[in-house]
Amino acid sequence: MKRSVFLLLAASILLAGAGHAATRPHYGGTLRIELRAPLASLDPAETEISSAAQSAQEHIAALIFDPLVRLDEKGAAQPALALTWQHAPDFKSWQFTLRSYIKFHDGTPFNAAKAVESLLKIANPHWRVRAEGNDSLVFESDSPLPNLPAELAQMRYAIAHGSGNAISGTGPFQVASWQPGKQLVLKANDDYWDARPYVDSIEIVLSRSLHDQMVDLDLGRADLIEIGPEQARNAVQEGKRVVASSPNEVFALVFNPEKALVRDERLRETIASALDRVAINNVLLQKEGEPSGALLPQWISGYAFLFPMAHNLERALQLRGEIMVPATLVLEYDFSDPLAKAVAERVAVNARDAKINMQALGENLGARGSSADLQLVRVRFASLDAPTALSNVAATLSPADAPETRAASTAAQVYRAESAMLNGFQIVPIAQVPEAWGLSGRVRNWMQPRAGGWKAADVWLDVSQGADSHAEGRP
Amino acid sequence: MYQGTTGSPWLSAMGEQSEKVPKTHGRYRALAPVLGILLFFLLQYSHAQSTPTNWNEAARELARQISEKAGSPSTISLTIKNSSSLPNADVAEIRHTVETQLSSSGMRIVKPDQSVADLQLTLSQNVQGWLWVAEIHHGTSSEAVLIPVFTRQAPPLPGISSTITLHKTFLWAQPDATPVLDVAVLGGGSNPNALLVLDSSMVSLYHAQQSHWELEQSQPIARSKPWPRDLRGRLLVGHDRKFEAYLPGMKCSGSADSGLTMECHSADDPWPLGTNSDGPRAFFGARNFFTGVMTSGIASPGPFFSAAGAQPDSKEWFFLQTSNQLHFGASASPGISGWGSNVAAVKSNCGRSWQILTTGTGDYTQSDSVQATEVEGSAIAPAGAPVDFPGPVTALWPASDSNSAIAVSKNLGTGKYEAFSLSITCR
Repeated sequence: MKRSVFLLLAASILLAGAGHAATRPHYGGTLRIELRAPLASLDPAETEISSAAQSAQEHIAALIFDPLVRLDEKGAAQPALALTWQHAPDFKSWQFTLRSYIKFHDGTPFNAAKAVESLLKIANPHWRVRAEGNDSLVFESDSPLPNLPAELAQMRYAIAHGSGNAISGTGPFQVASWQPGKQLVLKANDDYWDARPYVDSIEIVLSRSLHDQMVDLDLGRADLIEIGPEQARNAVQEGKRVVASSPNEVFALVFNPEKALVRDERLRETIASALDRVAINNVLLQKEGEPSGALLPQWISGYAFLFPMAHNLERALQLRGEIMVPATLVLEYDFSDPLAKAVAERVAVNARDAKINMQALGENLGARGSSADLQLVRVRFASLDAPTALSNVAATLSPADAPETRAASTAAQVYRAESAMLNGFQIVPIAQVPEAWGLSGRVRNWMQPRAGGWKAADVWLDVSQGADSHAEGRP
Repeated sequence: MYQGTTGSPWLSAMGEQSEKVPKTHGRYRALAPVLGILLFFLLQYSHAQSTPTNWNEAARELARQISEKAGSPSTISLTIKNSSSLPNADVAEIRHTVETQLSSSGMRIVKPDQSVADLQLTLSQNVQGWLWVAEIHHGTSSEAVLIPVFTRQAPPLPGISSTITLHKTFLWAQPDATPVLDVAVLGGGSNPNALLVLDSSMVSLYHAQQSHWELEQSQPIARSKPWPRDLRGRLLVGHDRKFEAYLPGMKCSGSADSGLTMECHSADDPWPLGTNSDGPRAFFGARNFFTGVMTSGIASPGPFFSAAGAQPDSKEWFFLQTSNQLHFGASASPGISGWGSNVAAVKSNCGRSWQILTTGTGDYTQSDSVQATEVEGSAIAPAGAPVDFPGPVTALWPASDSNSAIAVSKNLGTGKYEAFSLSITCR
């Protein structure tokens, strides 16, 4: 009796410090995830249009597939399926040596030929790739590729085998069942080269509205849900467990070069000067974003403050007096994105402050050629490497080839390339936003990468918080 | 060519922090050899942290680029804005360095109303490190110059406090992100002359030089199967410098006597739980816990993360089960919830001569602490203040001298693994 009391006392004293120390991870359980995107394909090489679908595709691909290299939290390339790499002095040729004894989930051996087959699905016009022996890849280009490892670290270059429902990867989880647009069940890859994940399986429900996701989290039916950045503050105040990345998307206005109404640079500058980015961030983004005149966020580039972002209505009105103003400009935004709708409507209000009529219209962006005068676009950086992130933004916003962006590698070169993109107000950044997630109480070891995404293989589930029984002992 | 980083981090000789180390006297005298070890490594580590970043190179490049962009103006004004996490002392140092470099390049620093050119230098940072952003206004033109600057790693300083009974002393920082599983100090006494480090890919032998640990030799651990996540491993070193390394499904045997020799083979041999090869052992599973099957007549309550003897030569042990319950022996009574996963026994001359160290109940995303506890019979109660770690404690094993324990922690600031010696003195 005395011993029990003493033990209890000791336990209660130590428990008072709980939450301030570390418990070894536990194996087992099913991680339940809900996403709003109606993802139709698991193939990482297929291009999704909306920001939400791109996000879902990236996150899910990272569960099933491995890239050749990964970027660490400092943006430095680290080995994944490739162990080492070297380049010619002029960066026009690279050689990657691959890991041995890796198999795809369907049992097919991974080798250089399979890697080439997978990489060629992207058909990058800027480089050629070939296998050299069983475990070596050679990339060649007519122009320097200083950022090739960072480029290959993106999930769209992850190595996949097969196609459609038979697609297979080498990643920490393998597909157990797949209903496109509805549900994906993954099970742990027991033979994963980088160590088997802690959880036994992951269930991902797709096409779930943000509202329904929140309800499911509250009712204990989900472990990981999406939370709009503008909802993150509220969710925290309601006592929910919320994690967020650093800003990994940018909202920007893109003027249509085909439309005569917006060919006058002074009109574009008028709209840019009228933008009240701080108010957009404070009110619409609930201070969870970063108002910015730059495309890349400060945490990635270090120079974002060099691009002016001040609300300058006086300048806008002065320019407005110098130009012919069209009756109404049409601004398109992604109809499936409620945050984009709110930002677009606020942009229209700012334009009217400068005496320019603007109508915000929700559209299925990318479904057809746009006839709008300008679009509000939400673009993911998809990398924390500044040159690669800027290349990704450029590829989305300026379809024309931008060799200076692709060749940029130093901070000064990236700055010059970004300056060139923003020169002339064809593209007008508004704010950068993070991704946010709501977590159930049983999710442990959640390590939120700064650039976004999940480290699901490192997550374990605290069974004392409900749901699964703890699977123990099975190697 | 990309290569993994290896080699020893710079430690150092006596440094500016020596006055912070408590003197050994009175009741501490018996622990002088231990404190000698602590002092040796503390001083080495603390000096390593004070190695200044060389701003000169960046300042020289800045002056060169200003000359190029602004045509070597005879006078220039300088404004510095700190938008980074640099402390004020570094900002002052940078200002001095930049002014010196500009002067050396023939540019006189003057007030803005007297200058030919104006330089606004913003000390910024990005994902890779510091970034100096210089905006040069010269006549009607403006240009920006961006200079990345080598990043200084600044892990927090460990320290010895004279007011606590549990001491944490830095031993080792892994140069890369490879997980350290266990370390062992060789040489002992006040002359710790070598360090054996077990990580997920090799065993490495380092020798203490005057100013740093120098890698003498490494032996790779070849494996045919992937390691489990949350890999664990244990080093057991004998007085003759022969050692054994235990990993899931593998055992290595070797010697650090003259150079480093080692052979590894697949094996499910039970791992030692104590400080020598004669003590109790337990079988380790294929993941991150012991199966619960013991040798030496000790009974366990089932699968557990770690265990420690309640008394010297005791047949009854405390077990931290995989359910994070503390269990005494193999009794059928339910364990006590709310404990962490690691426990180790340490011998001291305080209290009942043996204390048990425990970690706490967060996960690997949180800072951690180790708490000393006193054992009375089968009961256990906290003793003294805990010591904090800037990340989770991923390994806690008793050291071969029994007077200390080895704690390995992943520093959440640097992402690297650090090993510490934990010992206990009396107040």
